[in-house]
Amino acid sequence: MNFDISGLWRIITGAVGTNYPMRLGIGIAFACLSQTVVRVLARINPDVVVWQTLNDLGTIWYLIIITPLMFLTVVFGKRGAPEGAVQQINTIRALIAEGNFSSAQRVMIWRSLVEKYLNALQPDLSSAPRLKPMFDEVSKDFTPDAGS
Amino acid sequence: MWLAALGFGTRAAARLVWPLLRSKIIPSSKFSRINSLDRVYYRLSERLDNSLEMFSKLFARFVPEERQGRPTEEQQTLAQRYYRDLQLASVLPIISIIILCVLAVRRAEYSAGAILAMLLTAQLAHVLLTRYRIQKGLFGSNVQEVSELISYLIEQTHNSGLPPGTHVSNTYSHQTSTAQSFDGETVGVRT
Repeated sequence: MNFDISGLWRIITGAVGTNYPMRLGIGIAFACLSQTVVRVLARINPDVVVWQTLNDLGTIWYLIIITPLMFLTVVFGKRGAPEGAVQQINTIRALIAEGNFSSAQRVMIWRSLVEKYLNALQPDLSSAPRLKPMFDEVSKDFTPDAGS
Repeated sequence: MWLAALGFGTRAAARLVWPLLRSKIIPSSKFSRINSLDRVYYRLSERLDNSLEMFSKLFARFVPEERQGRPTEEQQTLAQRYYRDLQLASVLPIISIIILCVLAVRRAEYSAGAILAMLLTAQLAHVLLTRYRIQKGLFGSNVQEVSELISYLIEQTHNSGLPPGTHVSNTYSHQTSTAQSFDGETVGVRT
């Protein structure tokens, strides 16, 4: 079985949004903010039943309902690895499962996949170099007190 | 691991102490009883050896076997950069979650406090585990970490302002978006 406890742990923590910490933080803050807004509205409009009902809910319900909304684009959008990479990973997983590779072989396969993506990187020669940082570096070199 | 250490320690202590007891404390008139005790001891010791061997085999499945494959320098640099961004992105959420957790507990909303504490623990554990695995050179050796690294790599290369060398070529982008290779070559990666 292709079992890895660290991978399992990443799945568990990733399920609560730890791979996107800013989204998680914004979702929690937005949940608390919306609760405050509902409280203010319930205080202003005591006759409206909706606000009173929402005001009776605890903070936990706001957290449970509103925080996952921040991850809708992650789940249903095209975030994460692109489709080609996902297909490739799934193919390799199937091959590993069929081939009954040893753990060391599995690790080498995954590392070689990352290596392929790293090799795919190329210098962006189309963009013009930023001359100001280079000029600043050169001017620092020529400064008499540069080494002190 | 603790169980294994306890088992080894107990066995070593018994092997040290038992001959001492046998030679100095127990009188020679009681050797017949000692012989039977010896048999029991060695039988137990053998059983303990077997169970320890079985436990170590079981434990070896969970201990990172990835130590056998070391990452290259480029992979390690990429992983460290990924960790740096994860760490920076985690600071503000962690602080806000701590503040909100304290507020929830002070308002006696313990269920919300528990949820926030769980999220805080998960986030901290995620960051610390990532840091540990990168420091030990283990990161990127399973499918979840590989997909995270590839996502990060591609996401970063779409942003401008990075130094040369971190931009995916147009050919690569074209291949990932349109051409699924027909000849069995890896999808979207220039070889």
